[in-house]
Amino acid sequence: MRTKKWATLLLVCTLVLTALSGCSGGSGKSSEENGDTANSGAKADKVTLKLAMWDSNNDFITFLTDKVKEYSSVNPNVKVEVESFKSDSDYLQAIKVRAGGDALPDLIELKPNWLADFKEQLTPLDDLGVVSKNIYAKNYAVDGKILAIPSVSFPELVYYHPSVFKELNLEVPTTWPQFMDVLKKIQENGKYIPYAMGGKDAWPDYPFNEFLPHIISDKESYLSDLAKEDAPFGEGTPFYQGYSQIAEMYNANVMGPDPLGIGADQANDLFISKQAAVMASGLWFVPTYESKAGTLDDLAAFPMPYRQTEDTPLKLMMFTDHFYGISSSSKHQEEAKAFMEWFYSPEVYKEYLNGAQLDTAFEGVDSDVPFLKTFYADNQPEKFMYIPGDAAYTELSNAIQLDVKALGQEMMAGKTVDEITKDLNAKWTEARKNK
Amino acid sequence: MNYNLQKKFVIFGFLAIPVGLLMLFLLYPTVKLFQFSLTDWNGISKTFNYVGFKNYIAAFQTDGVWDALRNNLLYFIMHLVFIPLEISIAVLLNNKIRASRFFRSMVFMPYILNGVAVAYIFSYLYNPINGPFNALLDLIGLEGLIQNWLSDPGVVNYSLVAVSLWRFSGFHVILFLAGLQSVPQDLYEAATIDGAGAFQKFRFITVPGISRVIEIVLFLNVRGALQVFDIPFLMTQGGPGTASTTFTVYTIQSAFKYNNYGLASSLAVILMLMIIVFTQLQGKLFGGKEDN
Repeated sequence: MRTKKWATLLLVCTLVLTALSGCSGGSGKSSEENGDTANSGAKADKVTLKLAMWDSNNDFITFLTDKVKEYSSVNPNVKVEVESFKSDSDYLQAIKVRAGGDALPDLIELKPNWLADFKEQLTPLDDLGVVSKNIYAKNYAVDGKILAIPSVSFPELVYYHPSVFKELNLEVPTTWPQFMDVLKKIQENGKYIPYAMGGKDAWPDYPFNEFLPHIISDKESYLSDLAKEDAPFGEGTPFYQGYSQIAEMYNANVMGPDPLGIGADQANDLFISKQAAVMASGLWFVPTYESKAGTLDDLAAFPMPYRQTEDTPLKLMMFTDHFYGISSSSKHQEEAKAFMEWFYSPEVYKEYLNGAQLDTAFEGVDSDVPFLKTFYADNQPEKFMYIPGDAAYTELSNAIQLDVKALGQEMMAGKTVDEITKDLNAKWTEARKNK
Repeated sequence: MNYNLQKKFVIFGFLAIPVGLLMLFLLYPTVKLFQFSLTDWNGISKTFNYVGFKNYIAAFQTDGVWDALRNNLLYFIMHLVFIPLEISIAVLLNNKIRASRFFRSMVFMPYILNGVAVAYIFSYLYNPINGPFNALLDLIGLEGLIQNWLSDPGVVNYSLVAVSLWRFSGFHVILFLAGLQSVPQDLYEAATIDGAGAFQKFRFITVPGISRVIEIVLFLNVRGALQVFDIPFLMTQGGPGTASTTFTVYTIQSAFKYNNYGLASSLAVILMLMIIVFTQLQGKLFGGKEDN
């Protein structure tokens, strides 16, 4: 018995010693690493910058991976390596985990609505020369600081097949009632699915559930303003009005037999193969369409006609995306900034823009996207910038787990606007109280 | 150093490594998890505040958590209902039926398949457009039964439970089969001499003989039902809306989608406690039976 006790004591001691030596070993190593870095700076050794990004288009990932390698010819001491992800959600999850461990790559790509979350992890870029030429960067400053540079802007469009419109004798709609009318006429004809909705994936309903209340409110600061109200979702609010419009569409049976049963890819394929007549998406859809259909001959677009009557101006939702920032934990701040200056220099940026097939975010550099040029030749809508909610909005919407795209799914499954808004108002009020 | 001390030193030396690893990878994260569950950490920020048991209270007061648990309950009940059927199949396979070896491996096959592959296969089978399942129903004249398998909030959970049953029942059958093979044949022979029928043999010899295995399967069922994640996450992402969200999906979304690591950690702790409590209860239930 005594031996057993003694044995236990010894075991515990060994464990404690092992654990302690493990801990001290870890911290010792990190200080060594820090020492190494300090030395390397002095000796101007070769530096490798890691750049993390996502893109659904493989060709673009290949293009960017090759493009950043060219930087080594400008600055032989710096090598830039791309780490790519296929979807933004996988990417976000990965960088959140790394942010938690303080191990972010040197350069990170971001969406505008992630900037507030990552404000502690990003180095302010106000002193970068290229920032002054960026058209949108200031709009997305967090606490007055520019934390990331938007690389592209693009309009959110409604795509259609002109051949179908011609066959069914339809006019391009410019108001919401006209839009509904067009969809219903396609439905009555029966040959095509009027609207291709990949509702199974939730996100494809964003042109409606995310953008409609925002654009109806006519305030770019709409989302941040929500955080200042106790009940911003009830009757009489832009949210309620917008969601009523959306319900009108979702309940009109114009999205095929089971919009919630098919995903975004399948919905895209339905549209590309001309089984569906209309679908809404950003300009980024055009390269996908072209690669699958082989030609853009039977593709045209119009601004989503959110407005009720022609008396109000027709607005076009503009999105800025593919922001790049420098991680504040990066040990190569200066090298990263120098790379950004090169990356956004007119010659390099022009190639980036052509690779992305999107619209410019910089003065003096125009994009060469023929589809976009045709669109702007036919349509001159007033532009409306999507500005994400501020930190207060993000905090509240996270607290009530607000996902407007999932709400869209619930609406497609039959939930009414009254049920949704009542529930949201109650949760929002409660969350504001607990803040 | 005498021999005894030397011996102990070697033993402790060897033990230190696995126990140390266990502490590092199991105990330390668990302690950390508990620590985070008492904070408002958003998973990204470098700082956090301690908020006491606020997250635990919030977890119990959130409808979404209860809705998710209700979905978990459905997995548990359906798997429970299937246990007698699984035992019956095991009994059948235990008899000398033709090609029983082949059937045994067939039954086990779904369990070996990768969960992600299973989710994708069934997403395809349930597809509303050109989906094989609906096409089959159409072919055999049962088009009236065609449903929006993954998009109707009233149906989606049953569709997902069916996938779970397909995947795990085979494993349970094999466990029962192993249990059955350990029941001595002479008991059956004695029962036959005493004039017992097939059902009586099943009820009084087979079931008590495999009670240990039943207990294991029940434990796996409780644990599996509470932790079910891959099937709903991959097939519906918890949707439409939140209709097929399970407890683990809810936890993951709280952490990664809504940046609420504090709440997610508290949910993970609650999950751990639930599994411990249910397993203990079950152990009591079976332990009590054995005493009788």
